[in-house]
Amino acid sequence: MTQLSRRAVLLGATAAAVSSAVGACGDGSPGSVGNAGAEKVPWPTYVPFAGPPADLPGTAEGVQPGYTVYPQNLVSASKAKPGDGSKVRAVAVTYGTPPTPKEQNKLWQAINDALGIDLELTLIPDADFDAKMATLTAGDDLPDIISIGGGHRLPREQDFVLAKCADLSDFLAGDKVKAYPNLANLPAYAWQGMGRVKGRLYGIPLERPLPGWGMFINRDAFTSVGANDQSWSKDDFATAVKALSKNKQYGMGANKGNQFGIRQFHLGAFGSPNDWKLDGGKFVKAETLPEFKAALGFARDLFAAGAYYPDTMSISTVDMKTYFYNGTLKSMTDGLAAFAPAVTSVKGAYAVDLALPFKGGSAAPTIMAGSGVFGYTVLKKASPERVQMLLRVLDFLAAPFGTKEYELTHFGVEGTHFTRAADGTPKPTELWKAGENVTNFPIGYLAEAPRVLFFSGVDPDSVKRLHKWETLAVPRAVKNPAVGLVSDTSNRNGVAINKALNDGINAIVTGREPMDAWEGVVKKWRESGGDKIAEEFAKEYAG
Amino acid sequence: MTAVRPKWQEPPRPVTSFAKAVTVVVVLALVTVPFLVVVSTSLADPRDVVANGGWVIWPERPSLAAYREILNGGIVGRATLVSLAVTIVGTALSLTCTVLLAYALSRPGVYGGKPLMLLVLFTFLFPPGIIPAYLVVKETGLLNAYAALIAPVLVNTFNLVVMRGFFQSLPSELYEAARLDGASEWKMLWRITIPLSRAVLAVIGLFYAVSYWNSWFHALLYLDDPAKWPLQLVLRTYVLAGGQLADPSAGEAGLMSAPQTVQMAVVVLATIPIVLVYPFLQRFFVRGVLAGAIKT
Repeated sequence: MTQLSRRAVLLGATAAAVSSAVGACGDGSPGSVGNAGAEKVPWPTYVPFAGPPADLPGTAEGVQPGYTVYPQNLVSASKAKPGDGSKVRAVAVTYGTPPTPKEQNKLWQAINDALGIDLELTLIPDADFDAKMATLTAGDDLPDIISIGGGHRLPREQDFVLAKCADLSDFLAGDKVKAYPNLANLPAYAWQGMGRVKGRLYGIPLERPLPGWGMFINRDAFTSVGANDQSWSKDDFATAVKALSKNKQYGMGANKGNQFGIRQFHLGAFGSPNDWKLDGGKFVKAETLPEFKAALGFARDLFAAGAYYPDTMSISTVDMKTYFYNGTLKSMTDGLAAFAPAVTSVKGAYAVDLALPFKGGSAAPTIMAGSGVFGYTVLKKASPERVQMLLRVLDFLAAPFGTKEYELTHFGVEGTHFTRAADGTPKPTELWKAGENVTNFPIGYLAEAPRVLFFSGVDPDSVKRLHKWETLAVPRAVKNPAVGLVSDTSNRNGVAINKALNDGINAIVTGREPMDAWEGVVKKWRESGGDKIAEEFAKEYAG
Repeated sequence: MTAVRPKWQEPPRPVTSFAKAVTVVVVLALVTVPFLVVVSTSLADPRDVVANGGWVIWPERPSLAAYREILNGGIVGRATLVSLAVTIVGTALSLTCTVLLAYALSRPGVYGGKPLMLLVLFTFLFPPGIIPAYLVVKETGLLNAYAALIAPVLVNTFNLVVMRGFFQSLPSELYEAARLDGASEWKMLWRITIPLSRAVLAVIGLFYAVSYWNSWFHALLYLDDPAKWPLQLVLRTYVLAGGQLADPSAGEAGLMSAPQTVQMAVVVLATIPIVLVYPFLQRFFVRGVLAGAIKT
């Protein structure tokens, strides 16, 4: 009797496991949510906002406008309160600590008041985003506004968006976006970076500057060894970072998440494509090309020469920054947004700068462009009136720099969250510093204006340096042709498939494997799904 | 204090004594130095911490700024109350339910006892995934309620099995004698089983208390309002703030991360209650854990 019941239990469990596994593969057939063959709606028309002129102008290519002083005359970017007084539930990622409850939070109250809605914002810590979103999307009780970003992907994201979210094409495609002037001010690369689903628009992109990463350098240290990044060769670069690596200090800084900064800096120096190369309709992965191998070999030589921090494979981003700030590391590869905090944190001990790429091979050196987006915001399916109301709310939140709305959503309420310096710059109050701020209440992850170079309370000269770097680097930026394209295999297994490449890079750079092992790594990647991803991108691109 | 050495035993050679002393010092250092570093770093000046590469052994310029930063604003204070309430109520409920179920399952001849035991063990072998558990909590209307932190984990199967084993090890003659004197099951549980099981109750109570105190994942999944979050989830956000990002290219890598002083202060705050309680319960520990291990 007992035996029989045990067997029954096992059989039942096996049956359940098999049926759920089958169910998992059921509706994920390639191209099911892709744009191949689908009729595509036009991208929203770009209508730039005529705001206060920047003293360091931006370009259409993606150099950000820079402001060394805060605009004196702020304008209004919206005419009426966008909301209808109803309750709006939203969910977004957070990198901060929990905000004080709405009843005590003057920032939250002021934004609610300006928006004319009762916003209930659920914030998910970055580290737990995937787990929480998996449960939220499994239940049918979705919030009205869902922000997906920060490099996170939902399980079968496009399927989810298609099934549960509102199609915004009828409100935003082409000239229709002009009804939402601040959304029309989002640049084309942001919309394209977000992409379409089955040819339709489903979201609002969260714009980020086009140069995604950079190599931050301790300018004083590099100058002291005679290095000049305006015209350096790979030998100049190697000589400089080796000369800086002595007395427990290191020329090269990276962390456990970015594979020695190869993809973020070295690749551009050796003229490699950005992740994928579009070659006559075919997609070729950068890792399979000789430029990548050259960059890999270069990093391997630097590691062998002791130019990299020895524990690069195990240190976190936070540790890497700490070592850069205290002078242990003379350079680090990081996201461009790390610039202002770095300038603030070193407190003038040395000049923080971004390095231009050295000339590694015969090709002209480039930099790797980011996707141009942090993520995007989708809306739960609702009546057209409600969708339009929510779009007006997002339009308000996307009001550009130099408007009163931007000031509210980025600096808070005057007198409560900031006071004005003599030149008009908002200076944070104690309340803001103590935590009632937009890091802990990150309203910008619902919708945000294109970013500009303005750092409150940071040396204006650093703004000029970064702008100069962007002016020189952005024209050399290489885009990833796969951004905005959908590959079902990549969405499902991309992380696992690419792990082979990352493990291979780590093993070869640290000398655990010989340089010849790289071909085997690439072969493994191809066989485990890499080639399939390439095919799916090609199909999607052609359609 | 001089150790008493039998006459026949040779005195240790100086080398052996020295080696022993070194070993003891090393083992002690392995335990105390990390603890000292945590406490010292939490009290140090952030500038010293950065200059030293992320930690200090001794705070040169001690300050309570890190603790002030965490405790300001009332979030942590409120979360502490939530955690305390959930731990106290949860432990009491869990212990009650575990005792009742373990007692029922430990008694011979209970109708349906064996299938029930198999059912309980089934949940031990095949725990529900995150999403099924979430759906059950949602359907039972517990979302955004503190009960969601307790109800889904009310009885821990491991604890139940240990307790049942302990109850089964009590001599059956005691129950027979009580039965002859006319005691009911309730009376036997209350007058015989519980007084004889204080060690195992203390240990399992501590297990439950620690797991309620340390739990953050259920709160993350089931509570949308951060004002209801327990201490561990709030402290976790301090440790993670601006830290390792899923994708640094997303452009948020520049967010200011919490200084190491704050992170270490968080570690100290999270450990205090367990450090306070543990010494008083430690003597029950070995006895209690071994209790269910061997059936007698």
